[in-house]
Amino acid sequence: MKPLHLILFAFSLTFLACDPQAGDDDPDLTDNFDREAMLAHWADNVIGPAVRRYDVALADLDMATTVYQANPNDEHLDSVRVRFERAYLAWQRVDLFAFRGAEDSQLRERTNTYPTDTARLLTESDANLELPSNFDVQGFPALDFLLYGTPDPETHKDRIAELVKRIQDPVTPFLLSWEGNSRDSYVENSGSSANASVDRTVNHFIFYYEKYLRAGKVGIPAGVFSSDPMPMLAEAPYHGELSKSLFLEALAASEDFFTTSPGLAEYLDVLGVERDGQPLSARIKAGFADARAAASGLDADFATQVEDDNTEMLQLYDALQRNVILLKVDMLQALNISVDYVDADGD
Amino acid sequence: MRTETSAAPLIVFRIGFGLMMLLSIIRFWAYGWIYKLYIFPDFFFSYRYFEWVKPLGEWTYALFAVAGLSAFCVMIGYRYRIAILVFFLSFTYIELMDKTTYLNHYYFVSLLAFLLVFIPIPAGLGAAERRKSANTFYRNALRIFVGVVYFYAGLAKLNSDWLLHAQPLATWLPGRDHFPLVGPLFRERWVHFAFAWAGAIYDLAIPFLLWWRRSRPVAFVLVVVFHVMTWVLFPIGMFPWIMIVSALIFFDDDAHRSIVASLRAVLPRFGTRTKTRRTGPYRAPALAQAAIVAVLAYHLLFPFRHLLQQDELFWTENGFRFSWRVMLIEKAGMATFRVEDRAGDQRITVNNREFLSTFQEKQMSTQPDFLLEFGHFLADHYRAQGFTEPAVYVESYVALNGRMSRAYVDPTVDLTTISPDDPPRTWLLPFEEDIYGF
Repeated sequence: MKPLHLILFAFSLTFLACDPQAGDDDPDLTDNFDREAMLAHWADNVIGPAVRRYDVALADLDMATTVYQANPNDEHLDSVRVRFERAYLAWQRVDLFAFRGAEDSQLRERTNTYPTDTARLLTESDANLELPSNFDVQGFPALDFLLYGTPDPETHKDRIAELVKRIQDPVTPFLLSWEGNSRDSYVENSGSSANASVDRTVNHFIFYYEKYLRAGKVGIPAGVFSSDPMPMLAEAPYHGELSKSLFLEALAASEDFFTTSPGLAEYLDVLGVERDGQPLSARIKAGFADARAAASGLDADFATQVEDDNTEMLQLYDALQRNVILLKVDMLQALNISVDYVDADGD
Repeated sequence: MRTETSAAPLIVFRIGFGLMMLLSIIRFWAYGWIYKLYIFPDFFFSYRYFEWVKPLGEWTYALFAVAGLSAFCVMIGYRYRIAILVFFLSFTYIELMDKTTYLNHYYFVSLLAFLLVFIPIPAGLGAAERRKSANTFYRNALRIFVGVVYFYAGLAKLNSDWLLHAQPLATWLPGRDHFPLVGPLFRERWVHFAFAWAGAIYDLAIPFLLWWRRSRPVAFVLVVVFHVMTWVLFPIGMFPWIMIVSALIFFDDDAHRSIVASLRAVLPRFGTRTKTRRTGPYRAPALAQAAIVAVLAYHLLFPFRHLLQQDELFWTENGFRFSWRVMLIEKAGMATFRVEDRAGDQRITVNNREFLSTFQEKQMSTQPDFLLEFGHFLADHYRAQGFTEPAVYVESYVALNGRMSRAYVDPTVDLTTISPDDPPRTWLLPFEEDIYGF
């Protein structure tokens, strides 16, 4: 039984030898973190309601476009425009959760691919909107052009109504994927493999934050990925004062998803994750606040902003990038979340 | 000194090794990893001096078939010498195709297969009956080979991150807190330390406990318990089973003869058919013995090559692979490459996923030699795309063993000016902390 003695001896040594350093303090982990409860909260109180509100906003928009189609006048056009803004804002709360059923229906691509191809949008009225090559002549960006970028929207009233219906189509099935049996299978898949719900949701969230929020809304128009700023690659450029609101709504959606309880911030706290003497959750929250502050002075229209003073736009990009690092490197590591969707061996 | 002994331990080892390898190949194939890892990606990370080893497209399946078939021949003892050579070559070729998939246990298999090339093992089970059918030299060579792997893995754990901070276990174990019953324990700090210290002591002690006859049965129970536990807790594939089977070599002739006897009971025809092959008392050829001594010397010395470097081993990983440093570091990172044309005004930020799989990107983001190789690849790629004088910069961040992420590669360094011979510390940003120990 010598080995056992040895091991017991080692254990007692452990407690003598260990002088916990910064980051090593035992955070007294008596309370349990329930991953399944977190998933239920996400499905029932965050994602489900966001999709439902979006669905309602689209139904409103659809009704307004039908009225406008039958009786095109300025009053009805204003009504369509107001509801377009509301639906586009509601979409920002759904975009970051465009996975599960949404991948198959290509919800994100058909809803918000920009810049829209205005030449083809005007000439190819019979384009097959199911084709990925035609994602850039539909969705909110196409509506933005038809409602705000053309001399007379009335001439496009049928097209507008058709495109709104097209945006609506995949939303009901997507909503269903967050209810009933489908919701239960999402909540019950609470393990820690690459295909489990927590890993998938968080991976999609970070992918969204990096690619669509940081790069799509800010980095690309600011010219981070090209030689010069690209104002026409901003979101909603024809509206003229919507892109900042869309960005702020998307940023708030990401921040709320991180801070909602039970959620990622709390999970990090329960695991006692500290970095350089500060809870990682606090660092990430501060990162969101920094990004919001960096955006506060910007023009309501990002296309105008990058033309007038791109430096501030680049500062916003840097603030967003700092949180990409904390989310993607530090948080994923601390939560043991695999970045690969297929499990492979390690050693 | 008695040098002639039963071949039974070698025969059991051959059967066990062949079986484990056959299962490994079948498992790898069944999981669809051949396609995912070796056919789907467009780019592959090469080992230095083995840049010519690349996947063979659809023929990669044939390569795995050859490895599987030769493993089967090793197992049944059919043309063993040729089979083990073919297995060594095909398996090693597979491992050299893309260093993204490097695992210590694949290296263990390659090196062990190479060692076995020089160890004659009688075909069939009949030779196990005779008491003087092999040389103790071979059995001891295998024992040393397996023992060194454990002992070196233990030495590598004698560092401040492992012993004083229980890292990276303190990062990994809480992720298992949803396990029934014991789950909540995995968030307890003392459990992390218990696992860390027990793991280090286990690795250091187990070769000796296995070698010493009186502690051997207890030691083997520990081997099984330890490896089953790691199999439950971590995604380490076939490794635990390979090590459990390998540890059988420490048992004495009688134990192996009874294993062979029970195998013959299950496979009676197989046993009798090969019984007719006769070989006299075995003499080890001097050349084979010299080769084995050379392999073992390499096995003992190569893992210490990092001592010739001044780099912080965990940060730069210069000398980290091929050294039995198992489960020692948890690294996460991200890398964003920017290519600029020095002779023009073109510049582009690279989407890594355009060229790499998720897995490759993940491995690249924390390992300097990967980052450099990809940087050079990007320079070539964009030169072909019309950049006259491409310069490649990378903004990268790495978090190591529970520390805050920090900038990794010096973002002002043009990677095209760096050669693989330049030590990583000259183009990485400093780690600025000390990790003490081996």
